[in-house]
Amino acid sequence: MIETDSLTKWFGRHRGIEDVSLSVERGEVYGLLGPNGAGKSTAIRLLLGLIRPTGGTGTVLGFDTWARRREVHRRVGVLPSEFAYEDGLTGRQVIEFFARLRGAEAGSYADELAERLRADLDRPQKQLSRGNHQKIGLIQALVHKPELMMFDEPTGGLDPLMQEEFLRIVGELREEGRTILLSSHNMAEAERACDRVAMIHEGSLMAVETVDSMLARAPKHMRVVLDEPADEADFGSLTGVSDLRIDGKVVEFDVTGEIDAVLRTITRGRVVDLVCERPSLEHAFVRLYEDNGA
Amino acid sequence: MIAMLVGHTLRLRSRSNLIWAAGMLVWSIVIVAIYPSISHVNYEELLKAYPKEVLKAFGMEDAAAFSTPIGYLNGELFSLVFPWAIVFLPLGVLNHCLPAAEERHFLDNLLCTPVGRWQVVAGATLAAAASLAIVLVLLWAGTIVSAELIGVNLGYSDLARSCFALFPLASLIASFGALVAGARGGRGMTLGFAGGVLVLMYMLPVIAAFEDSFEEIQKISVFYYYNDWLSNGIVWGQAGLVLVVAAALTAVGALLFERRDIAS
Repeated sequence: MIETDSLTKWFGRHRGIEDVSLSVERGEVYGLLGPNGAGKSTAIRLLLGLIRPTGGTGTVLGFDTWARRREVHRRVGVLPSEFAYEDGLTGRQVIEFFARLRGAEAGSYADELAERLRADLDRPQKQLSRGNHQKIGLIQALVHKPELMMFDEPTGGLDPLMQEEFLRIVGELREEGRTILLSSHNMAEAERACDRVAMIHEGSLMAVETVDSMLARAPKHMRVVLDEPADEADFGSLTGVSDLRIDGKVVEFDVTGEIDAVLRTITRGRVVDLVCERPSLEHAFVRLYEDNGA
Repeated sequence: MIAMLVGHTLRLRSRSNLIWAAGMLVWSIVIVAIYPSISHVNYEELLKAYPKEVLKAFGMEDAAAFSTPIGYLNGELFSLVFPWAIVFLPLGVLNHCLPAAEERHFLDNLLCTPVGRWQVVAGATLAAAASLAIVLVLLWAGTIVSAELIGVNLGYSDLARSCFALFPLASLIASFGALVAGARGGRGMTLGFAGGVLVLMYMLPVIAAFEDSFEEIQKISVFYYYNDWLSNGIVWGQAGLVLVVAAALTAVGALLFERRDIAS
């Protein structure tokens, strides 16, 4: 669905993205992750033909992102990171206008989405909060049921309940076989929504992996309370253990890979309490950034 | 697609267009209402004291024209005030649809629909032209009705000529705005450049009245033709040429807009 080969964008002397090569398959939810300024939005704007590549190539649905951008636009739904609609128009008028431009009807699906996202379609834009404005943007991007959707920071401004609902909608779209590219710096959201993620740092791809394999490689955080003070030598020499902190009887550390040796060391004495946190994409992300000297 | 964009913009600008028309109409009515009280003035005698160059620079060579209602209205409004005011109507529409829409990220959404960039420029231009036409027609109709009520005979066709003469003039100046909006965007740059062209074009015939070497150069100014249209009637070939130049400048703007990055 999306292919880029060494896609590069410089804004004069400022880097946008550099040598980004990625491939998004049909039916997958693909996350572009990275901190603010990493180049996520630049990558999406390049894919949408809003800006011209300085180097490399990109195709979306087989169409060149710059030369054939209108073909791309016929087939996608887009939520930009920043967007505005006319102040005086209601959400319904905005959604109907954009649907008509795409040759579609907003119809009952707009109402269904509005109900799920609790969006008020009858209030003018100037009266909407950021979250409600974001909901109108999401409905606008979804209402024509495109085969490919690109969302740039889609849950910005949404409250936790609506973030949850958005993730449910994303899940349903994936079930229907639609493809979604989303950028986010919200790791928990990406972990739940995405099949694969690309991590961007300072405009370059650091890693592209499935969420499952990234989580499998991510360190697990363990906190152990022993019945007598712990000896740093016992834990410090264990393979895969990092970020070791010992405070009397309390030992905290991260562990990657096999945990058998760790468990054997812990159970040499009596264990009062043991917490092993599920590895998170955020943890993996931070570790990857640290490993890359970021 | 273009019709949809034009309709959308006109709906959004309807109140603004009415305010423009009302403002110009009130001004026009005031001038028409004053006319009966100064109609006895002998302008030929009054303007004798002025140097020829000054009269030429400000289009007052034919003093006798001031003694007619339409001549007086042209002298008071259509020769200076209205041309300077009206160009900012289509410029405002273009600014709203292009650089302002880009700066507030409306284009980020609009240009991700099947609408082509050139269609966005064409839609903005046609909406600007339609707004201009609506305001000029309202100005004409309102002034005629008011003049009838006041008891001043302006002449339907004479006033229509004065109103219509503003259309190519404002279209041309606005097209410089479309050129800049397409080439690089920026509300300030768009208004500033078009405003600069307006000043330059206005000044050329004024300077030419004092300086013979500007006699030929002044012909690149739309005011050179506009002033003549007010006095002697519209030369349709000239008006058509001005509109063709405006369309060409807009087309170049659209072409450049197709090729550049949308501001983030």
